[in-house]
Amino acid sequence: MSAPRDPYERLLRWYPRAWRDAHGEVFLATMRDADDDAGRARPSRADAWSVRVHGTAERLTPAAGWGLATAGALASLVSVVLLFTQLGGDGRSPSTGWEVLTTPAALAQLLASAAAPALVSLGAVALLRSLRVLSDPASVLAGTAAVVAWGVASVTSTSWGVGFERADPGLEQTPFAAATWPLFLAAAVVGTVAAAAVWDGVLSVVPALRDTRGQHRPRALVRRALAVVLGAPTSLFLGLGALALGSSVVVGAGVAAACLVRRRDPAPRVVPRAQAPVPSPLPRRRRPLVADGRRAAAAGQLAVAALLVGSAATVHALWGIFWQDALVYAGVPFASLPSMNLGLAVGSVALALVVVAVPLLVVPGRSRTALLVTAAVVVAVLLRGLDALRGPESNIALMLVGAAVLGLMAAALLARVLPGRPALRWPTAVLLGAALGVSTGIGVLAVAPLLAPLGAATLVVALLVSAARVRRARLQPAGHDVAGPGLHVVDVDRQRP
Amino acid sequence: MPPLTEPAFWVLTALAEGPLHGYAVLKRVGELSGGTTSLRVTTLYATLDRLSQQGLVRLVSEEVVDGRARRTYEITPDGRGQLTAEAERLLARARAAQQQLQARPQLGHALVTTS
Repeated sequence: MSAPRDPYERLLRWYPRAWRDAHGEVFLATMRDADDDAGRARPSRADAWSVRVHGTAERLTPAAGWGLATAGALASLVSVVLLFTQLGGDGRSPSTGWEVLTTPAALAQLLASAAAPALVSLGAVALLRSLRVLSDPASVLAGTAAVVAWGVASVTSTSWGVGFERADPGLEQTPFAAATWPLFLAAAVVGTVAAAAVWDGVLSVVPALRDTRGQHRPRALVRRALAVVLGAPTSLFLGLGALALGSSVVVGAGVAAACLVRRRDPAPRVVPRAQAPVPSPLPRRRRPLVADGRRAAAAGQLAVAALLVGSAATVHALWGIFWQDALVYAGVPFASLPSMNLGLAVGSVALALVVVAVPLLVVPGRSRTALLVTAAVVVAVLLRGLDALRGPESNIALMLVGAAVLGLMAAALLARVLPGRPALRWPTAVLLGAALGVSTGIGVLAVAPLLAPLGAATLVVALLVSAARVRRARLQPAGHDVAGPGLHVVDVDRQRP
Repeated sequence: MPPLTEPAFWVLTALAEGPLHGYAVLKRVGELSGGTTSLRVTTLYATLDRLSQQGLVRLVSEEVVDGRARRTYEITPDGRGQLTAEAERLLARARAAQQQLQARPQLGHALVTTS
């Protein structure tokens, strides 16, 4: 498609098609009116730049933010895969730096590792613009500077890698390897510009720093100075954070989900509710924890069992080395395993009991979602226990499967909650679920079995307090505010089987 | 309710006296601000777009005059309410400043007369 000859129509191309269709003619007519009055036959240079900036910013919508953040998260996954394919190259000659441009896999890895945070940053800028934290010029400045900064940062990282590789055997540095510090400085400066543009928008929310008529200059100067002071460490922190493998997947998935929520949905999805909650006449702090005595009794029994088993498991995991020999001598099964592994395995069983007890208390009635979530978490926790039971040679394979189960469960839940069409909702939910599974799932599964007694103790205390409340309410005289007219309090003790 | 931005304040002020089309808003802002504020066309349409989303202005008509498209906007009751609140806020500030300025010469005079 050829560019239009008319300078006004050529400028209009900077805006997205949807905006041009909605406002294009009126916009051009107003520009022409203004230029006719000013005696100009074409747009002034300042007006032309203004159109370029606003037109570019108009493309940074939440929908575009979703696409950019999702692409960034995927690029991060690609860069991780490419990185692993290049590992294990023992026996290669030390790099000179030019390999990154001449080896397809190395070049692709460099581009993907630069593109991932850059795309996620652009998605975040689109999100902040839609929230009106960033103005159009600030959005374009922050987005452009972020893309340049991530590009230079990626080259810096490669330059440092080459320098390290050559320094190890004592080889002379190549110009590319020697350029690490100038490249790092350039990335830090440009990154500071991007971060400062965002901080300037964030600080504008503070009333004392917001522009107001007649006195905006001193305030803007103070705000921008503060933005630069905050922007410098922010850019360094983000740069270092991006070095963590797959960090752009986590951040990208989060930004994509936020963009999806922010995106104007023509027909918002309504998550169907099985049953509207009936408001209780009691003040919240005086209500019983659970209105069903049988459920409360079952949850109580599970919590007490989890407290006993979990405490024994945690104690054995931490100090079992002192009595392990005695257990082995007594012929206790699995006693020969390292005490930490046996403690984690038994602790997982206790944690599974806690996981079953929680929905009995907090979910009213029968809920298929609660059942599926509980089943998924129990499976993940038991897989972690089995992993510990396999001993130090397990390579945490089963724990990774458990984390994947948690991620899938999170994805299924998010797909129900997030707005938008299924084609947008599901990829975002899966990405976010995978990110949660990798980032949080593994960490939680690794240590949670040792914390099972804490969870169980919390449940036991909550149930005892709740039972005391019910008993007190029953003993109050009729008409008292605690047991007002129409109040139906189920006696936990009497309904026990 | 947060204070209005500079362009939003002037656009609402221009539309407060009656519906205007885009270019007329630009000219009116220049006149009302005594030439201190000059909106660009890009800023005008970004502001009108945002004010429309917030329900502070609305589109009244769209027509073609001398071969050029014109879109006329008017201020809504919500927009009028927000502009009134903003004007009262500014008046309160101006009044406070004036009171302080008037108090200072009297204080000086009192010091001179007592010494």
